[in-house]
Amino acid sequence: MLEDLREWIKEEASKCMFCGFCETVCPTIKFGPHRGYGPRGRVNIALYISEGGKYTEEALSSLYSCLLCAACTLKCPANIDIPEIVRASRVLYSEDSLKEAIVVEKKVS
Amino acid sequence: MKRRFLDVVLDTMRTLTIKTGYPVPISRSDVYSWARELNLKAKGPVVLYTGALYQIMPYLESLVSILKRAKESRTFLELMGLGKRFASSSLVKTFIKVDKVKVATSNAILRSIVLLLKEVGVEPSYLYENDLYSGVLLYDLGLSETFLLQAKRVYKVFKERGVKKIITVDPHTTYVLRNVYPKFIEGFDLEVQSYIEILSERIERKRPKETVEVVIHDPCFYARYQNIVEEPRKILEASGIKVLEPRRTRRFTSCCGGPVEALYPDLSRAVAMDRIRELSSISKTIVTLCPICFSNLSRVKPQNVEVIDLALLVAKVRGLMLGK
Repeated sequence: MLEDLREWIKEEASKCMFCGFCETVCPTIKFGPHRGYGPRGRVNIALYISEGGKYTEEALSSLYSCLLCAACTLKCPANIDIPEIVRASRVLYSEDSLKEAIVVEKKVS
Repeated sequence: MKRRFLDVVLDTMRTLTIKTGYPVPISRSDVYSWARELNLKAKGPVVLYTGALYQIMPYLESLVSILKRAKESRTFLELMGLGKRFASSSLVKTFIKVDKVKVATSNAILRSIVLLLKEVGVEPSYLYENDLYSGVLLYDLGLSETFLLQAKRVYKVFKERGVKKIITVDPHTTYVLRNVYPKFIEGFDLEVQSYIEILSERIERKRPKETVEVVIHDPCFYARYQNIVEEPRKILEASGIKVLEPRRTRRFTSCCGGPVEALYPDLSRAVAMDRIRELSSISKTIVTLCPICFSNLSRVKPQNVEVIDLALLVAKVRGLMLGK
């Protein structure tokens, strides 16, 4: 299940051709310190994570500062589901780092 | 190892939802107190489901300010990290200070929605103490296990009460019920419609005493995720309200910044200020359709600008009695 998610992120994020059209409409990019605060950055950080990259502080800021507002999806010529990539990467983080399923099971029982 | 602020926020919301059914420290009676005096039936096939998003916004603001303080104090952060203890009612009451005006506004918006539905001949039932949180924020934050647990709880409530159709009141809850629940819950067979969609089909023309002019702020989750764009305009115009469009509007609307408020308050504020500048250059009255937009834009608005929820404005203009 988690591996499927990782594979899906890899496949979807690999469609990015770095054109950057998405950056013109992203509400967060102009207030962030680097391009990780825009869709192109987020997609490629998600790709890096899905390939086993480290959850650095800046990678996490990039993924969790996304509003999921989907403005970028209107501009992407490759039709990449950017908000879903971001959300899926957050699921990976919850599972990889917090071991969410185990925590939930423990708390419910 | 130092705990990340991110992990503390995620853990707090997860623990609270698992223990109480809500991602913020709110009591069940505070979730449904708005419905007193409206005499809504407790059972019926058509149910109004608020998902508590309007009600929890003032609590979320308070929780966020606590977390912000916690971020600056290491010891407090460790204490908060215990999550479980934080979720116990006594400790919560010590820290949470909720703005009563904001609570009253949320409640008035919900009452307006019911009055508007009644005006068009729709009398839904209400879940009262079972008006649980939909889990949408957990879903967005990638806490999929906790989300699934919550979604199953909510679906069980609907099924136990013989619900066939759900009327929702905000874009996020509408989206998650209509588009996400069916993916996770086997056999999901409930019809979901937002009150905006229902009103737009049934509302009758009514002229107000004076002309009102507003600028509309489309929420991303209606305009982009669900293609609900013309419906709110139809409701406003049928009530004699003149709708002005900002530069970025309809499908091309720009986010209020609300969704990252808990994790990146400064960024959230900057996005909101940017949007409010754009909106207020068109009109000093801004109409919102979403509790998150309402809360986030209200916080940064200049004094001469008014942010008002569509339901409250339309109910007022149509002369519906809101009571206390």
